[in-house]
Amino acid sequence: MLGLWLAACATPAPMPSGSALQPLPPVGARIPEEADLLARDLAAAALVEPRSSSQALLGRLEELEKARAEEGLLPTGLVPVAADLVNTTLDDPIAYRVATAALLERDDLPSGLEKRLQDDVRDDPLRLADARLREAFVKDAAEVFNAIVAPLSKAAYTPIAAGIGLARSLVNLALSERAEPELEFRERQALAHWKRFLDENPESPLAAEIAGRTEQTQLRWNRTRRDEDLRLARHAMRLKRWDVAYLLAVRAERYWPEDGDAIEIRERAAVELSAFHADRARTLEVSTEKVAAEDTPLARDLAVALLLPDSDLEAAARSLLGSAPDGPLVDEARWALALAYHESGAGGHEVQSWKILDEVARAPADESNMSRHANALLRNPRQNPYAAFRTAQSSDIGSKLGWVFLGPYSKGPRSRDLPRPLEWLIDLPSMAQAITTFPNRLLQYPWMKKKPFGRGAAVHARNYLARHPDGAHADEVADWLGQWEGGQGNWLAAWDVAKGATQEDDRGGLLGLRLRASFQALASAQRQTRGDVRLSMLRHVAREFHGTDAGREAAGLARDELRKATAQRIRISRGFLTENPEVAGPDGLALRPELLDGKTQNGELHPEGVVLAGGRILEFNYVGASGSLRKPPVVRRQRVSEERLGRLVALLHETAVSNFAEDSGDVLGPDAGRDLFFERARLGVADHPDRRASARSTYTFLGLRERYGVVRGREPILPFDIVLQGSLPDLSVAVFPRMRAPRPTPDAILYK
Amino acid sequence: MNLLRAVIPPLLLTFSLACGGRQTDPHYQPTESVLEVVAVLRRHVPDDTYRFPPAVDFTGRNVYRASLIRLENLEWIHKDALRAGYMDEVIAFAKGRALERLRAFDLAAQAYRSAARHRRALEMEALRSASICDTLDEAARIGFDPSRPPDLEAIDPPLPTDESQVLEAFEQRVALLEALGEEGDESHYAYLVQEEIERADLARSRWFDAVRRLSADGDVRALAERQRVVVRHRESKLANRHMLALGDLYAELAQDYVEANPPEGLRFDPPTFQELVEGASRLYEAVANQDGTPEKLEARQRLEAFLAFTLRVDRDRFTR
Repeated sequence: MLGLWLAACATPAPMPSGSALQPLPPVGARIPEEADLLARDLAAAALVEPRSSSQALLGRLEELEKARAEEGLLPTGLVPVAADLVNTTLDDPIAYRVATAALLERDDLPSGLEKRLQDDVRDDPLRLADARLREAFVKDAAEVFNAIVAPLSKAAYTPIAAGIGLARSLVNLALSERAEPELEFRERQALAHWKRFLDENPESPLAAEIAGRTEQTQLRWNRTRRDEDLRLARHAMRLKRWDVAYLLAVRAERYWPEDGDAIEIRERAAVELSAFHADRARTLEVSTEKVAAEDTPLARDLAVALLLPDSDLEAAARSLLGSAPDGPLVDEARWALALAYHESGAGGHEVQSWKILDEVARAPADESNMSRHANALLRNPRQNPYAAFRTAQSSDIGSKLGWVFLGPYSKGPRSRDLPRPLEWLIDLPSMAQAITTFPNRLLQYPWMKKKPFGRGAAVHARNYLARHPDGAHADEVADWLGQWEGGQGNWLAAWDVAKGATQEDDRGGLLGLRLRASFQALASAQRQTRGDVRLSMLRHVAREFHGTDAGREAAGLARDELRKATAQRIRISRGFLTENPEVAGPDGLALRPELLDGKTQNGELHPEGVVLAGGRILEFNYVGASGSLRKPPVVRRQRVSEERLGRLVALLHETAVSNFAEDSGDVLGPDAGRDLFFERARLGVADHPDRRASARSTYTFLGLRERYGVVRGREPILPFDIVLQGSLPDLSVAVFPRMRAPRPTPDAILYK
Repeated sequence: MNLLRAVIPPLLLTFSLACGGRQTDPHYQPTESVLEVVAVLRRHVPDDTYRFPPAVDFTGRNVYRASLIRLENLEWIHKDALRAGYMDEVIAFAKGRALERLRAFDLAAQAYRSAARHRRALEMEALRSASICDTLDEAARIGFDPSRPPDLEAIDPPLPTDESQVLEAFEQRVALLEALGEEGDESHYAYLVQEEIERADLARSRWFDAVRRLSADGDVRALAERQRVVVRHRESKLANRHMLALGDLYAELAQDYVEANPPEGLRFDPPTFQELVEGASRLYEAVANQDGTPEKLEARQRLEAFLAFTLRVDRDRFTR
């Protein structure tokens, strides 16, 4: 590649004339040999005849192979494959795995077959269960090892600090062990494997032993779930969420019938819930306190004014208040007055209305029947979003300060389901350390992309603006919300808020915001992988932000999308073709060899390579006349024959699959669109491209060098990392090994 | 044992109350006056219940329902105190206001007429409200609507299997409501009309959902109708629910598709499945990103459940 770069930079490249492809070589018929015929018979026997027939045929094949060896001929390579085929006729999965393990002893297995057989041997429920249990043990051991070794490594420099560190580390380890469920997910994976073993092998001699283990582990799992539910139920009780506590206790009882703790919590929650429902029911009753006092014209006038849409509510309320300032209906009159202000629509009246309600709410509940209603209004974030917004803002300021000074301990010590004083005692040393690092957070805060504060206030701000777009606080709230969204990098949202709210004198700020929003919208459109969605978004950006640079760019990109749109965009890079010459060679694409020879004088393929553009169309990317690889390629399209396309995709897929089998780093990623296109090409029906956006693939076959560069990282062999750790507070440096915990298996998500 | 468990909690509660162990919270005292109920109700009469959820009172109950129950209790318990009839008109009118928000338009119209009979200050407004409630009630009886209460008979019920009849009836219902909306001023009835139109649109889309398996283009029509509801009612308080329902329909179609065309089979078409999965995921994600709404949690869980379902499909048939 370096040679190509140097040559390319030096010499102008002429475009290749004519086709990029050579004629396809004819594929001649081959006369089958005796081994081929035996292999055919063996395949047929394995499908329909008893196992003994397959074994007999395998024996003959082995003899034939021996004879070829004696004659000095090359082996056919059929024997290991045939032996595996015979093994598959074993009905018992255990017997199959034993036979496969024996087959793996051979030294003539092709690498692809060897890997598949290894996978088959590993797919043993008991082996898998043992592996998961071993991993659980290694994880525990790693935790203990790391907890001891890290602080001990400092012993040489600071023995006292190391001692304290060790003690803290052990306490933390004990606490984390306590917090972990009794049965961790790897043990549950083992449980699932044991259950599978029992389902597949009910008659196995091991079945009784495995059934015993399964039963015990299942009990532990039920106990784990019960403990978790009880823990949550106790937490709900502390918060007086009796309905939640009740449900959790009932669930815990299902896992562990007759559990004393669960019954106790359920009964306590039931009592509290009954009391709560009784309280609520009482509020629907009516007392005789004031009904008689309402038999006055002024009270009736107020009632009528409350119900008529265009009445003079304020006058009616003031009349009642004036006639009996200490009367029994004074709260109702003040409430009506607040309502009159609330509905007058003027901004100042909104403030006045909430002020009166606040006064009503301050009265003790046993003296004022309206205070509970006023309290409910004041505290309901939907009804009083401005107050909720201000409260959330204040709370955010506290949280922000707490985070800067105390970091993760801003809300006190971590909850560990222990008595609170003990939690304080445990976390005090860490808190002291957290305080010393506050300058870091102070510096870090302004540069944080997504600030972790203000989401609650933003919800209330949006709610306020939706309910009161012309409210007394609308400008203030919109201003804050716009700034907050901007601070979060949500320029589009900030622009949305500002569009409706910004006053005439801030047109400059609005323009700046529009520019930022336009670039964000453009970037978001460009990130879309689906062509139809991307095109629609680009058009939207061009329309919404016309006159801006981003709007113009979006319009250009949308035009390009339409001009260059192809049904498929499966790319084979030049690097892939170079590393896998068989794909470019006569059995595959049959590309003219000079296009890959590194000499730009005779035309050269650009690093972009070749694109399968849908149907039978291929796009060839050539190095342009400048000879520069950095410049965009010159693209030429060519329609190829059905046979060439079929050969190309078959060989391409086969090569990629076998590369992946041999090297897990050479990934063949899943792509349904690619596979569907390949399927159609192999069947010879690719002539009518599928134009649906969801059928389009943009998969790229890359070479290993392109993927990983010159030096490729490898999986470490040792189960340790060497850690170099420095500490500012005690000015120490330590080097120590850290044991790696095993990675969770891909199916671990099913056990979370 | 179960009997004991059922009996013990109420006994404990009674015992504790009898012993005076639990102080009665003054917050939960009974309602004290007609004005109290009317004042609280009045605060929420102009509420835009189309865009925002209906308010709740201090006990967390729907404020219209709680007010109605309190007014009825007042009527029954204070028959003597209210015997002079000075508050009859007010109570009847207030009940009308509460009932119309609970969609009992026929009862609301009755309550308004009862208020108007007193021929006092509320008469004109009561008659106007009664007339609007009559029209709302008439509209609610038009068309095929399985969610209609059994005691509310439909006017000229269309055959549920005849698409043109069903559509015509829904169009008639919406036209009547839109005419009422145009007639109406800026009163709270504008919100009630919008809610009723939304309800009619929902009933229409549910009908298409219900019959989608009976015709070749049934799935497409059902999707189009659900999308229509989403587009027409973007401002509604139920907008997130409409999106969830559309997401659910996509998810259901994806599941139906997998059942009819197993992924390992030759008839399985990955792009078709991909379209359905993207439809459902996009909608669930959109709702799951809405801070401060209960639908956020629902959408997140549904998305997770739906994506778990897609794990059934081979990776070469569906790219996650």
